Order: sequence, then structure tokens, then C-alpha cells
Amino acid sequence: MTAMPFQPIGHTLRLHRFETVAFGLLAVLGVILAFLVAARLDAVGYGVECVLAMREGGASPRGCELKANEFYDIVSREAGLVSALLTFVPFVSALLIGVAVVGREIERGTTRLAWALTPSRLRWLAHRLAPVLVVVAVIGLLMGVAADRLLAATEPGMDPANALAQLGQRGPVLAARAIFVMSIGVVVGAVMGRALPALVVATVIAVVGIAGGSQVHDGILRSEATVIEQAGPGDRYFDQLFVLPGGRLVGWDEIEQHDPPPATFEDTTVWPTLPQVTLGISGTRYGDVQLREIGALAGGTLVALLLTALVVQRRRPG
Amino acid sequence: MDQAIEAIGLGKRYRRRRWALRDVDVAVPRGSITALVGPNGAGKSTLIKAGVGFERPTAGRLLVDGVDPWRDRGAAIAKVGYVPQSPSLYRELTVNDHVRLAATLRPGFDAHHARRRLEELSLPLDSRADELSGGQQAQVGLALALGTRAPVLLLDEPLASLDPLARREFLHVLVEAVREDGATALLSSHVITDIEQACDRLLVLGGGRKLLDLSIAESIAAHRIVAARAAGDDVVGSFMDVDGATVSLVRAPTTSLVRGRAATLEEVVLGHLAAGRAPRLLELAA
Repeated sequence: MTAMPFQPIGHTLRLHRFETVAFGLLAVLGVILAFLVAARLDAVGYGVECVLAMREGGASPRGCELKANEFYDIVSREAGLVSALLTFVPFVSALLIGVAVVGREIERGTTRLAWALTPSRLRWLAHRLAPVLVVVAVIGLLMGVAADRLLAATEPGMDPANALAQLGQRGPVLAARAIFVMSIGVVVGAVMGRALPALVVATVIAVVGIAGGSQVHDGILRSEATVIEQAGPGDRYFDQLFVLPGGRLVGWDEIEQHDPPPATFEDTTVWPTLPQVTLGISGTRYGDVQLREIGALAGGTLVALLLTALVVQRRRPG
Repeated sequence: MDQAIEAIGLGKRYRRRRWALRDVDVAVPRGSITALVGPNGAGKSTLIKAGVGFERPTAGRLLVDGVDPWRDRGAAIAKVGYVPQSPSLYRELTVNDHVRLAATLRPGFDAHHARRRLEELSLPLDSRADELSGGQQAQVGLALALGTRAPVLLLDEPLASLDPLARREFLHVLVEAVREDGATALLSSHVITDIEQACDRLLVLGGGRKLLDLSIAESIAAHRIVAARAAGDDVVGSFMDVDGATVSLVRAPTTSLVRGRAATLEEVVLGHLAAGRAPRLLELAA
């Protein structure tokens, strides 16, 4: 009798029914809440003109102050919570599902049955991995889209597609991070063969991996920073520099040599006198910055999954 | 007769330098049902797991239907139906799901054959694994192994947690299936009375070494029991009888000079296990 091609998917999802249903519902809840909060923020009517006027401190359009109070009240009370939900649900769900894929099976001893039945453990691994990979990706993407929408609502005038704000916590990068974290859970679970210790170890590795990766990417972005001629709301600023008469840029550490500070304290309001420029990355680069981060995460995921395949091929079934 | 399972100088040493199997030569004839008997830690599970490619031999080699399971696990698995010590079923899946799962994991899995076996036992196919009794779970494990239509069946103490009726039912299905398919089975067990009726060969392991490898009939015919602790070249080992008296298992003489009474299979096993333990005790004492 020929097996239906979708049966392995069904079996795997049933093995992870609790996690997929629980995190699926949390994802839906997060999306609904994000869109609700975003709609509430939009309804306040605190637009770009109000933001600019309030920032400049001059006379603001009628009602801007009241709107600002209401807007930032919603941002601090509701958007913060929803934003945390959108960030952590993909991370936690990816870890819990990832650890269970191989680790829990080894712990329960079901690999003894499965690995004795299949001439190819890789086939078994593919049957187990593919459906949960899709589940985690969908959860991550849903939350990523919701986080984009929330960002657009909390930062009037900012276009999430051209902004480097909250990089990694929204859009497709969030899904890529979730998949990477899941792959860490999968490989640690496969090595340790016990779900709970693997969860602890995988959490530490994932946190270090994500934080370390962000640091590295930050360093790369810093090295790529250029003078931003016209500041946009989605730009990422790294430094403020001064332009010497010859065109050379110097920082605060050198400015006193080229532009001596005034003798009296009162005169410091007009110092430094040299023209200032901002060093940063334009928000319009978000597309390629995002792609690079996804690429790095995909590479990490691939390495983790290849390691998993190696471990599954060689280890005892528990 | 050619061999379905052949071990030559097989050894397996775990970490901490404990040998689970040492210098074991085994030849399991094709078409036989061989009982693998021995105390805990004798190396029974290690031998069976090595046959499925779950354990890598430290020394010697093992061939299952001519294939080395560690070198070519895929090919070896295709020749083996394995029933693990505990049934290892997925508690979230139904019996029928397990049959389907096996069909997706293993090309050529005979799902119809497996289902027929389960239906003959009136096992509810739509029941989840965690709703089944221990005996029913063992039967599912056996049906999955039989569904592979593999020429070699390796069963790792599947009777351990079963009540007498479930054990009898399990062995009946096994014997019937093996005879029908012409397969070879290696069944590890502690329960001598049950295997006496189901198996035609006896392989006794003790302390990781082979102590006896004969047909059941030969095992019984080749031994006698004599009262009290005996000494001599023909003595295999001495052990305590159920009434507390010490008896000795001796090799039956080939001449007409017969002493003692006929040995039961259990006494043959006990005598050889006692013999296997003696050198180990001496090793420990040293």
C-alpha cells in the first residue's frame, strides 16, 4: 500500500499538537492585539505634523498636546506589552518546538521504533523537521508583520520598509530568527536526548547567538556608516562629526584641537562652530540590511541542521 | 545450513571500560527461533542492538543476513524487524497511525499484513497508543516488526512486562508469523518456560560471554542433573534448587553410564549461568 505524501506532516503535527496549537493561538492573539493597538493609535490622530511641531517646541497645531498625551499613554501601556509578546512568542515557541523535535523523541524512546523501521534516519528527520519548520516560520512571519504594523503606528511618519528601527524584532527577520532559534533547539535536543536540560542549554546558546550576532551586525553597520545629508525618521545614527575646512571629519575627541572652546562658560552655546554632520545608515538601506541578517541567520540554521543530521545519523536511539 | 545472524569475535565495550560483550561467536541458523537468555547485564540487549545498527562493535564483527549493520545500516535495517524492550510507541498516535507511519518510513512496508495481524487480535486500530495495555502495545510493536516482512526479527525482551496470557498470545503470533514467512527470530527473554515452547534454539550469555549455543532439544539431551555439589570435568555448574538443596548440572555422558536425572531447560540455563558467574566472581575477588 502506498503511503499518502501528506501523512508524515499530519503525524508530526499531531506529535507537536500542544505546542503548535498553543503557540499558533498566541501568534493569532499577538497579531490581533497588534492591529487593535495600531488602530487605536491611528485613531488618536497624532500625525507627523504634530510630532514635528512638538519636537521643535514651537506653536503646535490645535490639540496636539492632548493627542500626544493620549498617544504616548497607549504606546507605554499597550504597545510595549504587545511588542514584548511579538518578540518573545516566536523565540519561546521556536525553542520549545525545536527541542522536542528530536530530543523529546529520544527521551521517550520512540526513536527506537522509528529508527529501526527506517533505512534512512535522514528521511525520518526530514519528516519531523519540515512541518515544524513551516509552523515556526508562519508564526514568525505573522508576528513579524504585526510588529511592522505596530512600529508604523507607534512612530508616526516612519515607513517600516525604510527604517532600521527594531531591526531583528519585526518583519521577515523575526521569522528567520525564530527558525534559527528552532534549529539550535533541534541540534541541542539531538545531542542531549533529554528535553528539559536541552531546553536550558539551547536557551543560553540561542540568547548568546542572537545577542552576539546582533553585536557583529552592529559592528558591520558601523563600519558602513556614511554621512547622512538629509535625516530621515528610519535612519540609524552612530556618531556626530565635525567637518574641518579641508573636508576631513573629526569627532568630539579631536574637535578641541581644531576648534578651541570659548574661555567662558556662557559662550559654549555657540561652540563648536564647525559644521556638524551625522554619521549613520540611511533607513532606505533596510531592504539589503534585512537580507544580510536573514542570510546570516539562514547560514546558522543550515549549520545547525547539518549538525543535527550528523548527530541523528550516528547517535544511539536512547 | 547458512546463517541469518553471524557474530565472529564480537565485543562491545562501553565507557568506563566495562565489556558488555566479549569475544562472542554466534551463528543463528536461517529459519530458526533462537532464545537469547541471560541475567541482566549479560549483553543480550547489546547483541540485539548491534544487529539493528544501534551499537557499534568494539571488536569483531556481526553480520545480519550477510550485512554488517554498523557499516551499512540502511541495508541491514531493510533486513531486520525489531521489537524494542519497551514498545516505544508514540502515545499521541493511534494504532492505525503507527501502521501508516511505518509505511511512510519504510519502503515496502506491508501495512495490510500488519493490520491483519492486529485485527486478528481484535486490537482497536483507532485507539491511541497510551490507551492500550502493555500486552496490546507489545502486540503493536510485533505487528510493525512483522509488517516489515524482514527476513530477520530481533526481539529485545518484549515479554518482560507482559502477564502470562499476553506472553502466550505474543509468542503464538510470533511463532505463527515466523513459520509462515520463513523468517529467523532472535528473542531475548528471562522467561524460560515460555521460550521452551516457542523457540527451537537456545543461546545463553553471561557476563558478556557466550555460555551455550545449542538447539533446545540438544540442550536438554546433553545435560543431566545430579544431587549435591559435584566435581569433575563433566560438571557445568552448581546452583540452588527451589527447595534449597544444591544441585549440579553435568554434561550427559556419551557412554551408557548415566547418572542423575534428566535436566529441564531452566536447569540447563541455570547451570550454565552459574558456571558463567563463577569465573566472574573469581575475577572480582582477585
